[in-house]
Amino acid sequence: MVEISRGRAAVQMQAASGRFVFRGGRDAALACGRGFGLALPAPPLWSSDIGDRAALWLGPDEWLLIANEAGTLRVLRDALAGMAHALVDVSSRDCLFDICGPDAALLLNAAIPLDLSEQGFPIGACTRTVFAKAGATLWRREREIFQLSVARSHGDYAQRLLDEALRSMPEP
Amino acid sequence: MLLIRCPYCETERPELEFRYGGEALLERPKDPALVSDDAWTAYLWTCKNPKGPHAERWRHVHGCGRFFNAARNTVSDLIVSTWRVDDSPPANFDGGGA
Repeated sequence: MVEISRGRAAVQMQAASGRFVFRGGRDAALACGRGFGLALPAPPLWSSDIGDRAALWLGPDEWLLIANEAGTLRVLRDALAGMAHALVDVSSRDCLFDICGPDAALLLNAAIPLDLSEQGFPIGACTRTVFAKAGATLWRREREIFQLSVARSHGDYAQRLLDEALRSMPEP
Repeated sequence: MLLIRCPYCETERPELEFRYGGEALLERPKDPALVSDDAWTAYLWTCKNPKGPHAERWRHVHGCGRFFNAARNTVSDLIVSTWRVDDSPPANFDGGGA
């Protein structure tokens, strides 16, 4: 893992993890949650997690599932057998960055036009948004840890923008 | 920057996350082969283009990805309300110029 930090913010490039996009109606979502061992969150822009697996709300019938155990896809397929749904392994699609530190939100706001205060984007909040010109998924895992993911082809772009933003961060 | 309320995310988001999706509340002819060329052409290409309230489709493309409807005033650029595609327009919305 590579970490670059300055002042009160740091960027850690993370290794790829198991990530799946699930789409389906209410019954399929319930079945998917049972198979996954974690109910898919119903409130918009919200996540649920247990251990190192998580489910992130992306849209009214769409969730991002994060799990590293081998065989996750097969377990989900079995749980969803016979039900209308879409399940796509996107593990190789994204570049993952953890943005950490007390000034993590300030750093992200260099390229993300959202209110990332604890009121506007509390722990557990997640969303798709834009990171400058790149589509991105943002998830506040802990108070001072955001996970940012962008398409792999935009990884270099995002990384250079994060470097640029880090250079202009105030020294403590 | 405009803030647009997405009725699926139930929150206001910057316009950067959205794309315009054309005029809303259009009814597609049930069997296009049975309508005249003029009527089909009008359906495809003729927009109301009103000066004032206008029903529009927008897509939260860098968000939940869903299409929804919006009532926007084309003079002031004020988005009066947004609603889900399977909901009815707000009662006081006049539907845009004929």
